[in-house]
Amino acid sequence: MNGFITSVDERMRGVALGVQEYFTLGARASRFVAARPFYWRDMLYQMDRIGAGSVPILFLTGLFTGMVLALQSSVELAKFGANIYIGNLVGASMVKELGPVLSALMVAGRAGSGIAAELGAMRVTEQIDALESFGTDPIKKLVTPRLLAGMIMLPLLTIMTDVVGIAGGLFIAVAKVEIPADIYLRGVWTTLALSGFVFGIFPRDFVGGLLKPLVFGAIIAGTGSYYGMNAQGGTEGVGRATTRAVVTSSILILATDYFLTQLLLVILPPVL
Amino acid sequence: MARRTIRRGGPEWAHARVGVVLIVGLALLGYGIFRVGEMFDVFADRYELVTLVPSAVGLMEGAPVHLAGQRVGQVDEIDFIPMRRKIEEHHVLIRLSIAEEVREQIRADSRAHIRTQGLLGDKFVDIDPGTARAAVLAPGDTLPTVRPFDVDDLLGRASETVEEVRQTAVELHQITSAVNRGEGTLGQLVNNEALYARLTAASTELQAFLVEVNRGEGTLGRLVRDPEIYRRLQSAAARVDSVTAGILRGRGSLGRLVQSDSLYRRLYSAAARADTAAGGLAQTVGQLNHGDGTLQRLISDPAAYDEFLKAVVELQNVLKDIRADPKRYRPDVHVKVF
Amino acid sequence: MSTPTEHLRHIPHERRRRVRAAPEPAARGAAPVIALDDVWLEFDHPVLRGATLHVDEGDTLLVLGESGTGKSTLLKLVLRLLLPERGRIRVFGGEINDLSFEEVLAIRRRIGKVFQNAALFDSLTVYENVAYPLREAGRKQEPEIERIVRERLEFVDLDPEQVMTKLPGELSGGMKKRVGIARAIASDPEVVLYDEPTAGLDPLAIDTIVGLIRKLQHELGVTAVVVTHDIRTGFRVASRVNLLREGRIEFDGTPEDMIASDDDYIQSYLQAA
Repeated sequence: MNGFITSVDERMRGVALGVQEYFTLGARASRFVAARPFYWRDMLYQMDRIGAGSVPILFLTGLFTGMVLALQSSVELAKFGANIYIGNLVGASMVKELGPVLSALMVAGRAGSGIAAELGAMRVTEQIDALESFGTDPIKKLVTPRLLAGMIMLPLLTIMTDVVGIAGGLFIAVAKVEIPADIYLRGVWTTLALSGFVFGIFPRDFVGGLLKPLVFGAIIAGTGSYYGMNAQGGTEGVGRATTRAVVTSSILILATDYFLTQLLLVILPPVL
Repeated sequence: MARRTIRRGGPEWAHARVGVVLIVGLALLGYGIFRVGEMFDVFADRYELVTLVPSAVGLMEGAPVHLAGQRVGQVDEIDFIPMRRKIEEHHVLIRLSIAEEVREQIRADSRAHIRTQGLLGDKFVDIDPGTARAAVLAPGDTLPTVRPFDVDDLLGRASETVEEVRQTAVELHQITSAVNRGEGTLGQLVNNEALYARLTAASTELQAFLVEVNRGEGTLGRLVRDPEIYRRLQSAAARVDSVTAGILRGRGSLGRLVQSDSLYRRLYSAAARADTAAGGLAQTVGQLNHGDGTLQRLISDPAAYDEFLKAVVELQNVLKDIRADPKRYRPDVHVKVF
Repeated sequence: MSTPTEHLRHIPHERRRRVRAAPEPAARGAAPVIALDDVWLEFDHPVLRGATLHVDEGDTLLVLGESGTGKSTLLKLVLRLLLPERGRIRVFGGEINDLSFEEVLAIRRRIGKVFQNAALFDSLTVYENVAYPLREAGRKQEPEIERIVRERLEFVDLDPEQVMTKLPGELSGGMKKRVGIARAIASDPEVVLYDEPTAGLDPLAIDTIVGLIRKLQHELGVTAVVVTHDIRTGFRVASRVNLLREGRIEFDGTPEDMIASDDDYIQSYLQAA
């Protein structure tokens, strides 16, 4: 019993310490954004791996999500004879929620795990020590470029997912529900316009739709880096780091999504 | 192979792919912003109008602005008017951003209303277009408002009106059903055919009568047709006129009667005296009714009446005897009548 | 193409330049290059418990010890990749515990390290791996960097034309190790630290590595610290031997002294190995 309490106590302390280290890592990585030398090539390379590499899976994710959204909403809306509003439903859902969250989850599975595995391998094969021995700050060299790459690429990827999702919905609306494309698209634009505009021209829903992936990108890269940098115990440790990075970042994405939505409702209340 | 350089494999290809993702992503974002903005014409040139209201009644920044039912802009800002600059009972200043292309339509006699979409929907600003007589409002001008609708107020008034209308309808219904049953004049009028026939006959007779009148037959006809009667009537009227004038000037008995108050006064005192006499008479009658005097007994005691009657009869007999044979009483009785 | 003599002439020149820049040239020769004084360190369990050792200029110190006795930790402490809980560490005559990050970097650039499994950067080509310390130090133009990289690869008996464009994953263990050595000596270090230089290599490859360590020792006069389990290899290169036992230095002397020692633990250790 005593042993159990001790082990729980140790675990809690471990968790608290982990959270502290996580944020310390994030803070240090962020600080280097403005510091010299800036590893442009590394950032570009990571942008390619996180960003360009994720385009195909996000294309499929967006397409099928949009299609199933259109199909499901057509069934529900038909009950009220409101099928012409499919566009509104698909547009709002994709841009506000499903686009950001699903893109982030897919990228967490694909690129977040990659980051954790790569940095974990570098840690256990002493490549990180080697970097340090040559006078390189491994956080500046490894974490900052990944963090920035994630924060830049995920919003762009999310835009593509949104567009592909809306296009998928359009396909179902036209081909299966037999709603004219014009009406569908008009619904999409209208529902986004109805939330109001920031600075007069920037749709409010786009702010949320881009702020979320920005934060999710940081979560994916940060979590992957954290588990990778702290990997221990050889190849097996790398595997553990990878799994934990994906699980933790997925949960953080879903939880953060709720709080960001809440925050946006307070900061930028929707007009209509 | 690209990787067979002394540098890391494929950075150039990576640049290109990242570039493509960046460009495509930003292009799609730009397209989305454009299409969404197009819905509400956010890219049109805009100008600002200001409107003052007592209460924003739940209007929010970003709410649409309509001109004659068309969306032309949005509410930019809602602020309280500083205390010392308040005008009348307005507390809130609303800045409206309106498409430049409809500027022509909004004039000094335009009015802004804060309206509600549907009964419980969101608020928006609706502007009535002005007329050509009034000047076009320039940017920054103040647009007058019409007091916004209060839904509670509206509902209250609506229910009163509805009650009145209902009452009216009930009464109307009663009337029409009575009419249908042939009750009352209107009912008869509507339902009774005999009345109609009589009315027709009457109108026929009236017509015949009017024809005669027109022809100048009978008194009425002459009256209508003959100018002589008119002249006579006119001279009669003139005479009546002069007589009346004489009367008014106080000439003759009638004139005096009308104009002099001495006659009136004398008549008045006579009447007063008659009044007093009548009063005395009434008193006497009263005493008679209630008193025990001879006259009263005579009136109210039947026995006395009988005695009195008997006495009168005997007196008559005596007088008869005397007339028939005056000598019988002569030696002894010296009778002198009158 | 440069010849071996060219690069040999080149390296002492670089050395002289740095020696002139060093703050305490008078102390050279007398003070040890590396000195640990009563160093304590603990992770989950105590690793070093009052370790004291020194490395003189030109020495090749062999550090022996059972697994988990903190041999690799010693090397990390010297590079200040780790900070001790107690005790002083002096490198090039100066205490390193309280140095700023920039000062630590200056020290690290004078020390080369050969990692256990070479620790080459997987995503970089051989050329870029060897050029990495030079680029990181700045100051040099790309043509000069390329010239130095070729020299170092030739020094470790690799054909630059063949290996420069390869990725570490395409090399054998022995080749990786040699690229690791080339990278460690890229910026003319005065001290080279070897962590298990022969682990996982076949006998021929071990011979090559031993040859390289000796070559560095004799031709360039590099001071070295070699940490290994492999006593036979170690004895072939070492001028002095230290034996770590339970976080302390149990023995300090020449290889011959160690073999001649009558200490029970030393004898059992030597026999087991």
